[in-house]
Amino acid sequence: MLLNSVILVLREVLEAAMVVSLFMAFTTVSQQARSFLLKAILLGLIAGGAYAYFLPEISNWLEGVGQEITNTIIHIGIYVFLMGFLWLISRDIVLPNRLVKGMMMAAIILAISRESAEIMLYISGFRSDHFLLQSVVSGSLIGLSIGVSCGIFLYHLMIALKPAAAAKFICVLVVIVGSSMMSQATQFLIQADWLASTEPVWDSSHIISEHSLPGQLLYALMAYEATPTWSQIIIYLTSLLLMLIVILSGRFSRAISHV
Amino acid sequence: MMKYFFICMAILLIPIKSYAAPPVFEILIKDHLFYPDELVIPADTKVKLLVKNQDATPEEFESYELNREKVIPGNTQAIIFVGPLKPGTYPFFGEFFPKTAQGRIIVKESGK
Repeated sequence: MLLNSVILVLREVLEAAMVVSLFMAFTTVSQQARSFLLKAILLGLIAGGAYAYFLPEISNWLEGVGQEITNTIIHIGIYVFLMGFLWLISRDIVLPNRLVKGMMMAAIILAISRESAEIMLYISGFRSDHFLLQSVVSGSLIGLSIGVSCGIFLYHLMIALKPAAAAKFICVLVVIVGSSMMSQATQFLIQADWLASTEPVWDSSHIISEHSLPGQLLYALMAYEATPTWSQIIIYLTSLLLMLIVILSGRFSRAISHV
Repeated sequence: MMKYFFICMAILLIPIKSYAAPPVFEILIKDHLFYPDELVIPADTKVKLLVKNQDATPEEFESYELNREKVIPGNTQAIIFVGPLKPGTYPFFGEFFPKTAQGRIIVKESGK
């Protein structure tokens, strides 16, 4: 049970830790206070608690696919806020601008809410079993620590770079993580039968299995699927392209206003 | 005249057939086990899995091969659409109790 908990919690934490550490590094590089990020983490946990609490009801919405649609909205929301963040900073609107802060906070709240809801539901299942609860809680704490350590590692990796390079690197990772949110949203729409399910385009499970550690890490970074469908690939690439266009157009308009 | 009538009827029936509700298959979760733990479904057909969690604890139905994941709170049921799939074996598991909650969907060509 201990190992299960470690893996389950680690998987959930990795994704949220990525977004948080990217933004932590961004505030450090911009030499700004980051108390607003801690506020966002806390709000995310509260939102996660609410999501977990109402999940039985939410699941019944929309003829039983409420959970999928809520997850889709959360993932699209993260993408939109990350895109807003990219748009603002590429136009040279930087911290401590309130809009930039708002985008960062909203993305973190959404990212943490879904992941933490699952962990809370998982642990709450062992409420009545004190014997198992102990190993589940210790396993979860270990998973949480590993996930947070990965985030801290990423953070230090980025702030070790020169500020200009770090900002660029952060943007690239935001684009990758953001697009992966859209890929996951597509997956939930297919599961809800709101998007037609088609045959996988390829099967790379023999190269990188989704069960393996590299597969899991790639999943956290870019929603790696060993058997993706056309809709997932197209939406992923379109989302990627859209974010790049937003960055470039922001820079372009900045260049014009400077002339 | 009758011939045209039947042809018209046949044409009218085509959309009914293709928009027919997908067949439903039931899976129970009890004591952190799936019943049945081996489910045979037809190939190239979209099916609706009705997963009933009879445990008091939540479970997450998960399958990398099917690309599906859904949390099912205790004493509730969930709908998961699967397919159309090619013939083969697609394992699934309960992420919250993976030691015991293991199962697989076997996709077979109909008529075999």
